[in-house]
Parts: sequence; structure tokens; C-alpha cells
Amino acid sequence: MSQALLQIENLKTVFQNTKSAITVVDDISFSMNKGETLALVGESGCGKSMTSLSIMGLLPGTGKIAQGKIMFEGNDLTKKSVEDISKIRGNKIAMIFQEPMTSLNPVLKIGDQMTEGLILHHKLSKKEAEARAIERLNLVGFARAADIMNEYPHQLSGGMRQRVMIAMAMSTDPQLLIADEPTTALDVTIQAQVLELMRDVKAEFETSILLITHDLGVVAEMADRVVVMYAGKVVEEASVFDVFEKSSHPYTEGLLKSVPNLEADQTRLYSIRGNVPTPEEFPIGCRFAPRCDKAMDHCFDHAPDLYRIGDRHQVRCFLYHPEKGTFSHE
Amino acid sequence: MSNHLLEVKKLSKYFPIKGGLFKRKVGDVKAVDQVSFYVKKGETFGLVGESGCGKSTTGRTLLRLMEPTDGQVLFNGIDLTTLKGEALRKARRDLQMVFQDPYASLNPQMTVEQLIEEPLNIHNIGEKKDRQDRVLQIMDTVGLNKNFGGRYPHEFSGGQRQRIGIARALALQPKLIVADEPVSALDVSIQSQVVNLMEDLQREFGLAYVFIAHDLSVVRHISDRVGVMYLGRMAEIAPKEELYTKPAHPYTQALLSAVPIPNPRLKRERIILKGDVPSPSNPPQGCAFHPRCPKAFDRCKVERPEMMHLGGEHYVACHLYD
Repeated sequence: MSQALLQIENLKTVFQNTKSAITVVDDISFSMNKGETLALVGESGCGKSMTSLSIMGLLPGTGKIAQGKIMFEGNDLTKKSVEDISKIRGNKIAMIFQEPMTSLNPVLKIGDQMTEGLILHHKLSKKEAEARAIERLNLVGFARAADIMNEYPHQLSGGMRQRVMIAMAMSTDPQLLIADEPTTALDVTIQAQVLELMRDVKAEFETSILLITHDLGVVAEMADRVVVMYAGKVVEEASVFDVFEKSSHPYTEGLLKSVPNLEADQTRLYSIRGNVPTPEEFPIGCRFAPRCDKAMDHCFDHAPDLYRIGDRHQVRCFLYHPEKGTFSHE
Repeated sequence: MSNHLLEVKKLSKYFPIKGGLFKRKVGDVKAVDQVSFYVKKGETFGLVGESGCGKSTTGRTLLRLMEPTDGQVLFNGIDLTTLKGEALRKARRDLQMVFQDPYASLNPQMTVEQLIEEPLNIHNIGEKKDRQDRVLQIMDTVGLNKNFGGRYPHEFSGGQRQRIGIARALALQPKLIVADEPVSALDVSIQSQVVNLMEDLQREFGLAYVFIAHDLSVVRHISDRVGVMYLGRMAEIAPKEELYTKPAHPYTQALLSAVPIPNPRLKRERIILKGDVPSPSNPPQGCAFHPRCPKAFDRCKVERPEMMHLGGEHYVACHLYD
């Protein structure tokens, strides 16, 4: 059982306004094993990015972790000092973001940016760091890696920049790679290149990947397990096969049915009614109840727990309450 | 021919590249390069391609939001590219546009009612009272709460804002709407609401759409026929069923195989294209796709392929089919 590389326990992340505190991540728990790819799925505002930023200790503004533990290799990251976190970050845990241009420094050459972390964290000499950087650039498919080292980010295309980000993230042999919408800004043929690269990297280094995405196609292709989030809560957690074949939460089901099929024609798309609520207006009971086709009276004023319905398959919905039939539609 | 609402013939849009001491023209970005297609009454023509392929520029040039460099845009037989002043304004009543970003395309200082009424004012339609009735009627049609007419765009969610954008386009009862990535900025669950709405409106008003998008699944769902663009040129046009089951152009084949499918058990043969899309300011000689094409041969490097008819309504620009 102590296989877990990362274990999040009851994580709660809060933003403090002048008047009130807004909870964007509310009591989230999940764990990741070594070499596993876990997809964190949800629509905008569900808290998936805030979860990853909490793990990295990179919460913006007034955001802070109000409660919970983030156990990484047996250490609680929430208890670490800023210096300790920054040692782990970019070393054992690396992150790639959606828009590589905003995370690369536009006035520094690729080579300087790639070697900076190696010299800082790994105490490599400049020469060693450069050799390592070139090796990793080769790995992500740059034939002329030595030239790329001397170029600036604006000289590269979007797909190349994202490959540089992956090379940079992988340069310290991290155990955990957090990828926040890594291919969302990329064209589909470039996305295919980057996804294949991430699979190769994972196979070669046994890196665990926490993949944050809203694209269910990407999930199906990359993930071993899936955590579905809605309005700051985990609503379903299961293996990738269970999510696509035995999805149980009405929200997960709705999401899957909303996606147009590339391989077959449908007459009309299924749509979930209403809108994604903002953190200020999260409903009291089940947060999905106002949009749910299967909602019962009980759902509107009681919040469901996560109920276990199979091997590592949990669902936050009263329909799966262990005492079935406790709540009726009337 | 008579049932072609819109006929685009060899449409081109070049942007000059200026350089040197006196900012002289040193070249052209061929954003749209001799693109031809047609749209029938009441049908949806999907236009797909990756970023920089010229699909948005094509859409904007159709409506003369950008001046075409060359070519013809025949709408009901009238060449829009030659129209001026009042005649152009009148013709534009029948062609409207919906933009990708409902956050950026709506004036934040106008209320929803004002936004939807604006096109009616510009075209001097009806009395004030009639216009207000019409606004309420359209709000109802697109599923906006009529009581929210006095609210401002920022008070609405993304999906609701896109409904406002659609309502504006609908106000003048157009025959054709050019929708440029209308659902790309929306969440999956909201995206399907807007797609369904667009289909309902099409059925109700007999609208034709030019639906520009990069999401091939959405385009498959909504389109009757689909055109695939690459680097400013049309690579393939076909009825959607045919395009998605029997893609002819190697680029279309690669594009379709690259789309991740939400089915974890599916293991597909994937064509991974090498490299990136070249710059349209300096497109490759011959077929623009040849440097990345797995099936390219000598002729592709020197001769640009023309559109060839494969039978039915299937056209492809590729030497393999000559």
C-alpha cells in the first residue's frame, strides 16, 4: 500500500477576499502510484488547476491551503518551508503549462533556461548542464538540439516550445510530472506529437504524470486512472476503463454524452442544462443537483459523500448510497 | 447551379510583408490562396484546418470584413467583391457573422437589448416599438431570459454570451451565417447546448452556415459538407460522411487519425506528421503539404495540384489522384 508516490488527503484551498473566503478546492483526496498517469478532468472553474498549483506550492494571490495534507514520498508538502518546496519543485516534481510562451522567459536563450535549474538544483557545472540539456532536447525530438540552445522562445513554434518545456521538465528526472492542459493550445497534429512524446518519456523514466485536461479524448489516450472534478469536489474516481464504460455519476455520464463522436453520427447532442457555477454560488446540497436529470429532492439540501461502488471506483452521488432506496424520486 | 446560395471562386487574400529602409513591399503572406467552394441553401459547410491555414481569413473575406486580393464571392449570383456603399450594406443583411470570443465581440457598455437592436437600427428596420418587440422575440428564440434585456455582457456566462452573439446575427433574418469557431471557447457541456441551438435555428429559418472550426468532431456533427484547408489552400472538399470515412488527401487522413477518441480500448494506427506547418509567407514549392506528406513523390515538389473531381461532390487537390 505504501506504493503511493503522491497522496492528497482532504485538501482544501481557499482564496481570501476582503469580505469572504472562497473555497475553490473543497476536501479533495486522491493518490497516485509510481509510474501511473492520473487524469484530473473537469470544466473550467472546477478547481483542477488550483489542485495542481496547490501541490506545487504556486498558488497565486491570496490563495492558500486551509486544510489537508499533500504527501509526496512520505513527506507532507504543506508542512515544508518555502525553501524546501522550491528544492522539490523543478527537481522531483516538474510542471508544464498550457501556454509555453508564458512560462518561458522571452529574453533568455533556450539553453540558459534549460541549464538554470540543473545548475541550481543539481549542482552541475555549466558544461555538464549543457550536455544534459542537449541530451534531453534530442530526446524530445530536436535533431539540431545544439542550435536550439542558442535560440530564443519566439523563434520556435508552439509545438516546439511545448517540447522544450517537456525537455526542461524532464531534465532533472522528476518522479512526478504535472501537466496542466499541455496540448490545449496546440493543433491536433502537433498535439498527437506531444502526447506521443509524453508517453515515451513516461515509458523511459517511469515518471508519474498528473494530467489536467478537459479533453476526454486525451484522457482516454493517456490516463490509467481518472478523477472527475465538479465545482471544487471530486465527483468520481475510477480506472480509465470504468470511467468510459461504467461511468456512474450523472455529471460524468453527461460529459461523455456531450462530446460529438468523430466516428459516428448522432442526430442531436446531449447537453447538460444550465451553467457551471462559480465558487461564490456553489449550491448547498449536491453541487450538481440543479443541472442533474436524476436529481431527487434529497439532493438539493444534502451533500453526498463519496461511495465506493467497485475496485478503486468511487462516486459522489446519492444514487449509489450503500442503503439503496433510502431516497426516492418523490 | 441555381441552388448554390454562395459560390466562392478562386478567392485570395494576400497580406503584404514590408521590410527594408523605406518599408517597401518585399513579399506576400498568402493567407488565402485561390480557394473555391460553394454553399447550398440551408446547408452547413464546415471549414476545418489547423491554426494559420487561412480558414478565419476566408470567413472574413467572404463578408468583406477584409478586402479580398483576388477572386469572386457570388451570393445569390451577385458578386460581393464588386459592391460598394449602399449596395454592399444591403447585401450584408443576408450575411452575418458569429465570432469565437463572445467576450471580445460584444461591446461591454451596451445592454443585451441594445446589442441585439443595434443591427436593426443600422439597417433602419421598423419603428422603435417594432424593433423592441423583435428583440424580445429573438431573445426568446435563442433561449435568453427576456427579463435580462437590461443586463450587460459581463453579467452572463460564456455560453449565454455566445447566445447574445447569435441573437445579433439573427436579428436581420440573414440567409447565411459565417460562424468562426463559435464553440471553441466554451466548456464541453455548454458547447453542446450552443451546437444544438444552431441546428434548431437552421431548421426553423432555413439558414445556411459556414462553420469554421478546428475541432473535427464538432464539424462532423454539424456539417453537411466539409472543406479541409492547409496553408491557405483548399486540400479536400467532400460530403461529411465521405470525408470522415474515406478521406482522400494525405493531410486529411493524418488530421483525422490525430484526433484523440474518447474510447480507452481503441488502438488506432496513427499517422504522426513530422514537423510544423510552414510559414504562409514562404510556402513550399509545388504542393504546400509535400514536406510533411508521407506519400509525397517528385511531382509534388514542383507542381501545385489542382482541385480534382473524385465523383459525387468529392474534390481533392492531390497528385495521387491524377
